[in-house]
Amino acid sequence: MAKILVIDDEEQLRDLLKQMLTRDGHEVQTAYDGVEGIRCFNNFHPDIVITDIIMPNKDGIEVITELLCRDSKIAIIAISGGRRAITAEFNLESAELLGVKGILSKPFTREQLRETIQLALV
Amino acid sequence: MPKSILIVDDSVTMLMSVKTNLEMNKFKVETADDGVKALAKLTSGFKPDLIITDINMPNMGGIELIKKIRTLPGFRFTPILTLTTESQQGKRDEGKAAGATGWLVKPVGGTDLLKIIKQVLPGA
Amino acid sequence: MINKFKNSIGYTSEIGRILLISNGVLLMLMVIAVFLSFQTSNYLNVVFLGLALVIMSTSQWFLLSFRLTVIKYFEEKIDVTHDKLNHIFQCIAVQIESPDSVVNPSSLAKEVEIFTRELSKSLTECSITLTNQMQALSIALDNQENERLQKIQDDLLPLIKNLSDAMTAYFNISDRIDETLRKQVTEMQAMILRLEPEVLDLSNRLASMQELPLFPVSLRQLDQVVAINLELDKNIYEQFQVIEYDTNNNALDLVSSMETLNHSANNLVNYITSTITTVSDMNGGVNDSVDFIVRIGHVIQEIPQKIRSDISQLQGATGVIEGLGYLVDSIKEISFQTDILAVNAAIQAAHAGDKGLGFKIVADEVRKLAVNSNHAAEMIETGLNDARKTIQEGLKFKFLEEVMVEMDEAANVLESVQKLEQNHLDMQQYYKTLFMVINQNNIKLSQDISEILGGIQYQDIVRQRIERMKYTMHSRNELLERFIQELSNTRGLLTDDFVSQMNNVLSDYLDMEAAHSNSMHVDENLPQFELF
Repeated sequence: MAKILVIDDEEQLRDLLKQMLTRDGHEVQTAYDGVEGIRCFNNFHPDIVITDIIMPNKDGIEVITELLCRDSKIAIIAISGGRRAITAEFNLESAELLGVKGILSKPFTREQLRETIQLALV
Repeated sequence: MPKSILIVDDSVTMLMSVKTNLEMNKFKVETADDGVKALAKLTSGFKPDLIITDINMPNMGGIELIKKIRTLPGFRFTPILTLTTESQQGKRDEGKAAGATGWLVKPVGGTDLLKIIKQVLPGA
Repeated sequence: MINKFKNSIGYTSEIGRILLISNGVLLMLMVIAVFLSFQTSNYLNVVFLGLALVIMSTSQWFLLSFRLTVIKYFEEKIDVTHDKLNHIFQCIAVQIESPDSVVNPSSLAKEVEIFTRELSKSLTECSITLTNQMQALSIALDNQENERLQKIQDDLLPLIKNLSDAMTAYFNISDRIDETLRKQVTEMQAMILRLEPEVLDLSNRLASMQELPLFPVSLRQLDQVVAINLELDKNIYEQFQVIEYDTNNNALDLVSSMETLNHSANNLVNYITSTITTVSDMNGGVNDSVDFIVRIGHVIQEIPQKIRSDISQLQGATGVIEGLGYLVDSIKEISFQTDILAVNAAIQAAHAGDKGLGFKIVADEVRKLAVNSNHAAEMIETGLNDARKTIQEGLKFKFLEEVMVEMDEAANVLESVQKLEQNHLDMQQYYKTLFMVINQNNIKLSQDISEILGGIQYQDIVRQRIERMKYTMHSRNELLERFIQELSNTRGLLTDDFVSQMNNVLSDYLDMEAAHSNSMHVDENLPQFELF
């Protein structure tokens, strides 16, 4: 199955995603912000990166821009729940315009996650 | 400080295509439609960071132009690229002997051209 | 044409027959002449020989006239070929010189130049202004300069609108470019289609010439010239295919680049329009917080003013009380003097004895008055002191009370500041995202445009290829013209070596083509780009 990197500052969600994806047979690594995420990417060489948008230090938009500038074929799924005035739609629309392979608005179901990963892997 | 480039080609389309592309990417561009006019520009005080020239042109062709530029004071190390439909080894050798820095065969895609320019103009 | 050709074959068999007959007759005449000269006198010999001469010359004349017919026919054929070639040149010339032609650089170049200028200008302007505004914005966000922030936001919105206007303008231009490109490609293809059968026809006509009977040496030369001609035609035809391939491919590339560009630009415009509402929502939040903070700011600004007025009130009250104190002192003074006066009066009354008894009573009363007034003054003093204390303490309480109220308000300010800080964070996040997305897309857009600009280079390549064809066809024409002339002048006997000259034309052309890049046969060994 696939190697997946999950970047999210929310510990609970991070752990939940790791559990879900591992159970589906994927090899999963996690990072708590963009800086850690990029470092992890360089060592882990994942097939898919699942990243939150609003995070401290280096946010998801920066991670997406940096990775896609390196190689536009990297499969990235953006997940976001928005924060106060910043809506999830805005974050995900931005990520989509940058060229991510899939977007998921928080909260999402296990099925939605599986489907998005499937599409991103093609 | 934007880098300046001189383009020499007798085709209006080529001049326009390359010029617009380079100007969009923050280069300062001057053009000349044959070797004689290019040389006149260079001897009247214009000192570009890079010269891109065609080979087959009326009045003065690219090979002769490159030879003449190399004898001008201050132009010994200015990078000169050729942009031509000529692709034979013989012509390339002639270009190299005349003092060209590199040989480009038309057509060169817009982004490819920029990549090549970055290679010969570090910091651009 | 085929009929004419069959006729010429008819002539060929006829000439054989005539030759056979005339030779037979000649032989017969000779035999008869020998026989008769043997049997009779020599006079009849002369008659027979004269007859033979007449027949011989008739057949010779017949042969000659036939040869002339053949050469005339051959000339006609060459003329037709010549016309065809001329026609092809004219077609190419018309295409090259036509103002709408894809081979003509000025019209397409101008169109593309206008559109790229406009687009790159607006893109550059927008991204420069955007960058500047973003910098100003982040400074304002860091320094919490609300007014400046507001101004930048006000400036930013029309800027984003400008960008989307520029994009819309670009769509209109891009449609026009797209249309022009398609039209030019169609024309180019039509030209190639028109030329194709003509080139083929030309080749066929030249091929048919091979079967014409001529003197063996000339025939061999003609054979070879025709073969080389065919080879040349084949090569030129191949180059036509290259042109068609290039035109098609480049047109497809250009159209798909335009589509990519349209797509990217469209996405950006949609993104910008849909995200602008978020800004106005956020602005509302910021405005509310800013208003509250400004109001509290005013209250806090008023505090020192209030304290100052309280202090001056206090000073005023103290002054009044101090004034009253002086009054107490004068009452004391008066009572002291009254007391002295009363004591003196009592002494004088004692000296006067009984006569002074009444005076003593008055003196006693005056003294009592003095004591009382002193007592009153002391009481007033105590009262004043109490009053001073009370005023001071009272003011103190009032001040504390006000501070307490303000402390409550300040707690609200803290909340508002927090809200504002969150808003700032949101705005920072929002603008950072917006900026990165727009910036990335601007990069993508300018890459798309660069690709389109690179694509137009094929026009130059096609032009050069056609110029090489034109040059070669011109040389061939000249050679063929000389060839025909010599054929007529020498009546079929060629003196010049046309084969090697024709070969030169062909090899020159092949050399020229080999020296230039060919998109259909990419040379794997030589790179498109090399640094020496």
